[in-house]
Amino acid sequence: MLTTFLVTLKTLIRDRSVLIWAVAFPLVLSTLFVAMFSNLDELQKLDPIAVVIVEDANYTNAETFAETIDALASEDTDPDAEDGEPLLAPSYVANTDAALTALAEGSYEGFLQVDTESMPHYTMDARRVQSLGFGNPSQSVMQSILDRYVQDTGLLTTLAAENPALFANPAFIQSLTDGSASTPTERISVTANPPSDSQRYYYAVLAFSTIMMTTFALAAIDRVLGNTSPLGARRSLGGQSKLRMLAPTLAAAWLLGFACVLVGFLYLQLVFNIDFGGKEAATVLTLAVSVLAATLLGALLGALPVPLAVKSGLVAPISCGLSLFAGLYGPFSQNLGDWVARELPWLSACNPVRQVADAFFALYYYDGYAQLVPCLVSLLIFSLVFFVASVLIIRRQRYASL
Amino acid sequence: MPAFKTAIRLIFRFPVFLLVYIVGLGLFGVAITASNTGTATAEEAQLTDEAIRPSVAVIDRDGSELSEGIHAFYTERTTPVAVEDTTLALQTATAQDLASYIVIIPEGYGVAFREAARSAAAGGSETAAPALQTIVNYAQSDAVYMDLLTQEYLSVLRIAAIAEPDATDAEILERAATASNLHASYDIVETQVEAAPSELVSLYFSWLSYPMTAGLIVLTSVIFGTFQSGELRRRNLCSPLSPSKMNTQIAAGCVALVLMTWLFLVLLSLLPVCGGLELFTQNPTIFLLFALAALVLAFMPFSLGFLLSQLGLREMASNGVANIVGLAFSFLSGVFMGGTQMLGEGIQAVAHAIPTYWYLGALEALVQGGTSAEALTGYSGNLGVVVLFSIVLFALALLIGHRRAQNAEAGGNPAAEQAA
Repeated sequence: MLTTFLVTLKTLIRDRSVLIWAVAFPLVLSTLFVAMFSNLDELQKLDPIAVVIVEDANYTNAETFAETIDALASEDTDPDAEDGEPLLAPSYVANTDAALTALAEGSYEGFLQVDTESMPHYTMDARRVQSLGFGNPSQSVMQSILDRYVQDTGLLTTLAAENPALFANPAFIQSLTDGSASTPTERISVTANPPSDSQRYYYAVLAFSTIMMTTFALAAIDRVLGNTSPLGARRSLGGQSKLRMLAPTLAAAWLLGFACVLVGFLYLQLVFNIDFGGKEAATVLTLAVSVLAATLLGALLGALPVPLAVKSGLVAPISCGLSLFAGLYGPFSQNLGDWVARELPWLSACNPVRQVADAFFALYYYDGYAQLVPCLVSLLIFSLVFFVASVLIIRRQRYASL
Repeated sequence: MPAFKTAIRLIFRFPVFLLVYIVGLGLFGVAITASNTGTATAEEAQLTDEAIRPSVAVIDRDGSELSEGIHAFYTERTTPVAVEDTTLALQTATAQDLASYIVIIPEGYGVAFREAARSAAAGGSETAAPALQTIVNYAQSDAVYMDLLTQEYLSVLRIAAIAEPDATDAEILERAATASNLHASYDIVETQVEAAPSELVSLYFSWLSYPMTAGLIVLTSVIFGTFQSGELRRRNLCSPLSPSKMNTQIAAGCVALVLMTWLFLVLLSLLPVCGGLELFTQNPTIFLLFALAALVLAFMPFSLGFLLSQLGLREMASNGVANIVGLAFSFLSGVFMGGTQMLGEGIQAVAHAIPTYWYLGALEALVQGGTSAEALTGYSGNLGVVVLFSIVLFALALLIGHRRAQNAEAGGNPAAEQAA
């Protein structure tokens, strides 16, 4: 058995096309992801909203509104902005025609003008309402800014009509100028580590890497069975029982797969400082269990009585398809995966790649290990199902016989 | 046309690649497009604050009339999400993006809020106003919007409370509710005359580049590669069909594959969830330009697959390279990210070397400018770069193929020299 183990290990290492899948592919993807998403969290912050303002007589007369706009354009009005970026980036023009011309250039979200009663009117560029790929939160933020002004003004007008004496009270006037300092909000964090959008990509790519380890077991099992490869046919004539061949073969495939994902994990952690919640031992355990599930899935695929080319062709689509719901393919697939997890949790539970990604999430976001356990149990159940299915297929196969 | 027919037969000898890459990933594109139908389009965008409705969970630890009013405000203005008031549930809601914004109304908030307002109304030093606690997850722009919305409501609530310090909570809430129903006036101006492609059809045609790239690379590569495998190639060289005619027929078979793939993926865009049919009826020219862009792009993976076959890559390796290239192209050019705006400057510079970046540029030109002269110039310029990529890759493949055909292993002049 030791000889089978060592020979399987050597033959798998020497198979260049298997190594492309198991080693090169995950490392290339990891590098790509880190290069792309290392500053994703920064990029997701809202840029100052580019808006055109018609600076005509109405705007000049609406002093309070103009002061509000000036404040939003100069102060640190974005609570998440650490660099003091303003919320608005206004450009001023003389009239509506000039505003429309500026809008046609495509650099602005919309233009703002004030009517004779000092009430703002906002005109959005249709292209900015309907942007390629994402909805546009800038327009909603703009609307919220203007609504607040209109609501405050409307309420004060009503109060002035009902109780004019109120505005003779200096305390009331003073209280109005206090602004948001008097209605504070406090940002708190409940997770073990701060939420990070880029982490989703790193976890998805590592989960994808683990499922790609099916290639090792698939190639190894194909070389064991008598009806799938000439080498398997020759080995079937030997004196060893199937169990004595399969056990070391799968052990070698698992060890090699585990070593590969470990390299990927260390590559992410040591080279790129990707955070796994400071629970390295649990992460390594998760990888080991994940590779076990992948190895036994590979054994199942390898046991199928079809040519190796067909079986190998199945690995990429299965891995990529399952990874779609783990959020590997960007925001759209993350939304789809999250939707499936919410609406069809049983379907999400049937996806081993999602379970691996969820396990990394559990390690990163939760204080203890309680959330990790269901993911690991789920992966062990997958392993058992794949193992039983592959054994049933291998046992039922009949080779050429009298 | 024996080689052509064989090439066509070979396409269907790899049903897994065909089904998975072209059909499967094409349908994934449809699913992803359909899952984004919630995003507002120009026609659907409301002239109030309906453009986005972040998912918000409210944890009311106060239980006062005022806190219930605040809770009701969030329910009305956002997409409410129920989250239990436990650390684990809050962590799960944050980690799994169940709620993009969580508001916690602390115990005693209602009393403290009114006390601070009374203090302000009395003109004394205002008692420290209580703070609403908020938790945000990934969507930073949603958080900015929600912070503003929160301030918007708390502001009118506070003014109402200061103006009428002796009023009941219900009266304050009613006054705040009346005020918060006021909105600034808005409209949307169309800066282009034609009906623009909807976000959905743009999204689908962007995604289409992924199955097209990955699928056609692997299929073209294995078809060309099959004809060039050792013994088969030698046997074919002995046939009465000249190598140039044979290669032309194989290429014609692959072109047929390209056309079938393109047609299938474009037909998928006509499904109602992708918005293609709607665009076709409203503005057939733009739809056809979208389809033409996809056709031009399709010849890039054809050339790349041909190049891989000339490099001697076989099925499994071609499959691996096709996946790496398909994913890398799609990520770097912003296909999966809804455009390049979410990529850093360095990556955007790299993206210029990716054909799908220029394909997306051509789509974007149509989205932004319709069929105006400027837009069509941008469209054709971007597609021109895609064509150049295809030509360069194809020429490189021909060069490598030529060299391989003349090496010792293939029986070219070096073999004769070795024999001598």
